[in-house]
Amino acid sequence: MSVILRMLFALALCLGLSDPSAAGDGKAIVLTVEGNIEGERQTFTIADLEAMGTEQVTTTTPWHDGAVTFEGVAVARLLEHVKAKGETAEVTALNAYFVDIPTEDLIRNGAVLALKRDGNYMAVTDKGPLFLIYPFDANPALRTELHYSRSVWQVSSIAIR
Amino acid sequence: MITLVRRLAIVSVLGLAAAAVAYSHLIVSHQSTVEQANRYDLAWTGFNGRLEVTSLRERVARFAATGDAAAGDEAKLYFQIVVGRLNTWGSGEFGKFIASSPLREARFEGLVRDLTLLEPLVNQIHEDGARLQLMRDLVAISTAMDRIGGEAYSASLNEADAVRNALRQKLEVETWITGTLLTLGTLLVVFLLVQNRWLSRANATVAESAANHAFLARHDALTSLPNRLAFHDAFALEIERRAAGRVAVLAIDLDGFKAINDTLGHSAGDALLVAVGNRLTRMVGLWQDASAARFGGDEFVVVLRVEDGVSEAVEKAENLRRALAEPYRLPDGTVVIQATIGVAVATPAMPDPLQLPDDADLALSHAKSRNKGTVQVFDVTMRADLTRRRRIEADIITAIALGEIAPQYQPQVDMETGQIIGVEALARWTHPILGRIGPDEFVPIAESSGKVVELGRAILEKACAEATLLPADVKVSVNLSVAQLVRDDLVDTVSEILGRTGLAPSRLKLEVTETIVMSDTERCIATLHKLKQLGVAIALDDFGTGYSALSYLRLFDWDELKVDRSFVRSIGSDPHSLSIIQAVVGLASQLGIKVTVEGVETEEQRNLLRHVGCRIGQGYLFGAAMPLTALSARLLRTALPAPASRRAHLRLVETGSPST
Repeated sequence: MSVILRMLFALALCLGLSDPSAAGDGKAIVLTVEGNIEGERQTFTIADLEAMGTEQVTTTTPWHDGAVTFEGVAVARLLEHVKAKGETAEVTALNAYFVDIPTEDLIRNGAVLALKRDGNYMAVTDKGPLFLIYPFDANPALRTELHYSRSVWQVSSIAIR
Repeated sequence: MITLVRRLAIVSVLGLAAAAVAYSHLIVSHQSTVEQANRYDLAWTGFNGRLEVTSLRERVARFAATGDAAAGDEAKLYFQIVVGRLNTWGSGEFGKFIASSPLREARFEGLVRDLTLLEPLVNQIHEDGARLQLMRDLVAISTAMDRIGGEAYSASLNEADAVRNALRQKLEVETWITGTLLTLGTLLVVFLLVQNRWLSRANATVAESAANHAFLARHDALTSLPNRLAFHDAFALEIERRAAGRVAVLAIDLDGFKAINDTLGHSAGDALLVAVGNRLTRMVGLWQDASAARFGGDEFVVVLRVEDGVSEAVEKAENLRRALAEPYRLPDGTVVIQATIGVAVATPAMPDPLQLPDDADLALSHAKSRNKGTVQVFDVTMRADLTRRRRIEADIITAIALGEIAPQYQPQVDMETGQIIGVEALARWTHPILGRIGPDEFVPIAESSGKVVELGRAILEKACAEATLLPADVKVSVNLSVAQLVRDDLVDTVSEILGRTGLAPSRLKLEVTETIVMSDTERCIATLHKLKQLGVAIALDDFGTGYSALSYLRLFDWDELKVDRSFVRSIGSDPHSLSIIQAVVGLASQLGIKVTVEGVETEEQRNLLRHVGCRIGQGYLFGAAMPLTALSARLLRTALPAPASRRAHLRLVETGSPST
């Protein structure tokens, strides 16, 4: 299977480089935040997000082999940044997947909007460009179907309600 | 039974512990099952993959139909999303699911290879040929993803089912364990209840036996009456109590109880005592403030309150005595027994009322020694009697040693000739303080205090010694007591005394009463035979007062009969007495036995007795018992021309003390 994964990885790399929305240049808009926030709607590039300050989370997940180190913006900081005033965050992904998450859950459990995996920006083929991740290893109580469903990859927008 | 239940309890406790351990294991495995149930959902990931490839196909189709650039970009994005999906499928939990089936793994590898080949087509989506090719190939890709997605759904269902099954099984085990816990718990509770019951039963037994012991300590085991200890406590309380009337004590003793015990056996004796106790309790129950106690043996005591003093106490004691004299129907037969009762009543001036029981006992002793079967009221002289009795008892041995108790001699006379042919040695005691004490008084005391053997031996020895000083034709009679006769060494003692004193055996005559022989006939007769072989004569004393005098005549070859004084006393008034004496004399002469009549006091009696053939008489008419010196003088006076043997006697008179 490793041969196959290498093939996929190679494919992902080449797609990522050719994709205009990829994080490569840092100028493309990767995230839209709207709803009950300051200014109703704010957009972010990778650089904007990095400017908020990033942190690292190392954890295992059901979707990766072995432990993975993610780097990104703490959701709490992002919500603070946009002055969110709502109890629920409606997170939507590129593939139209969406899930409602209580903001309190995101803040209390230290959810991170990851930009990088193991030091590399993430392509769409690698659950990029943004991946909402919980520190599962730090808090094993998070290893439930519920929090797996809240770990949204290919995040494109967040609406605060 | 107890050990069985204990074992059961131990097993229950062990079972409880085991069940608890099993339960905690179950809870841990529950947690793992819950985790399993919480696991990442394969079906969802599979389902989303199928959606994404469908979306990709839809975008490509829309681009083909409209040529819209946005649709083309979206198609490119969805291609990346699908690649990303396969990336997700190939790693982590879904990767494990893929790898779990070689067929599935091969299919997945084919899928990835096919998808990789589509990449140039996606980039050339604007070209019709490439697009058509893409749309065709995506059908196969979609089918393969559907297949794997469907399998993931099935696997997810299976897993859920397995989790449900595991939960159901664990629930079943849990039910069993809970049941076991409940059962064992119930067993333990039952055990506790059983043990509690045992404990309370044991407690009850202990309490009962303690109460029993307390009862036994203060009650007589045979009759259940209070014992001496309980009586004294109750009596002291009764004295303390300032109730109306005066306290009286009745001391009760059964006459001849020992004989009943000896003849009918101890069980009959015990049954009689129980019956007496019951009768006493019933009688006493009729009186106010009265209670009965048993002091032991056939001694009972009643304490009561009397309003009218002595007269009421005596009346009640008489009632009691009559009631106790009614026949008793025992298992061994009907028994009639008399009771003697001593009465003591507290007087207001009494210095020590606690002395009452002793006073009653003293009155009882007094009555027993004089008038059995009567009621006797205590008076203070009895205490003096007791003091005297104790003094006599204490001094008796010293008196024997010092010669204060010594024989005196009553002549036995040939009523034809007036000649003294013998003397009876009678013990006399001149006490230095109490003065003369009669044998009627000190002999019973010596008997009751076990000193009669020493007394008898001393009198025998002294009489034998003194008899050697008398003329050789004067015989000396000495009484034997029962205590002496039953001793093994009597024959040796007599033989030794005869040897030491030098008295010819033919001059010694030993007198026994019928009652003595009655007590242990065979042995007594054997002893008497041995004595007779020594050459000593044997006389049957008090003849005619016993029960079966004639049969005793047959039992032994008596040398002499001594007719009791009671016959002689009444010969003047009762012609039958003389007839009886005449018959006895006739019978005796036929059997070759001499007869002596006792208690001859008047000339008239002598004449009557002589008339019916009596030769030898003894009594005040011929002289009371006298000391040896007086006897010697008397012998001298009545002496006919003295034979040589009387010289010794003359010598004695010349040198002996002049006291007469």
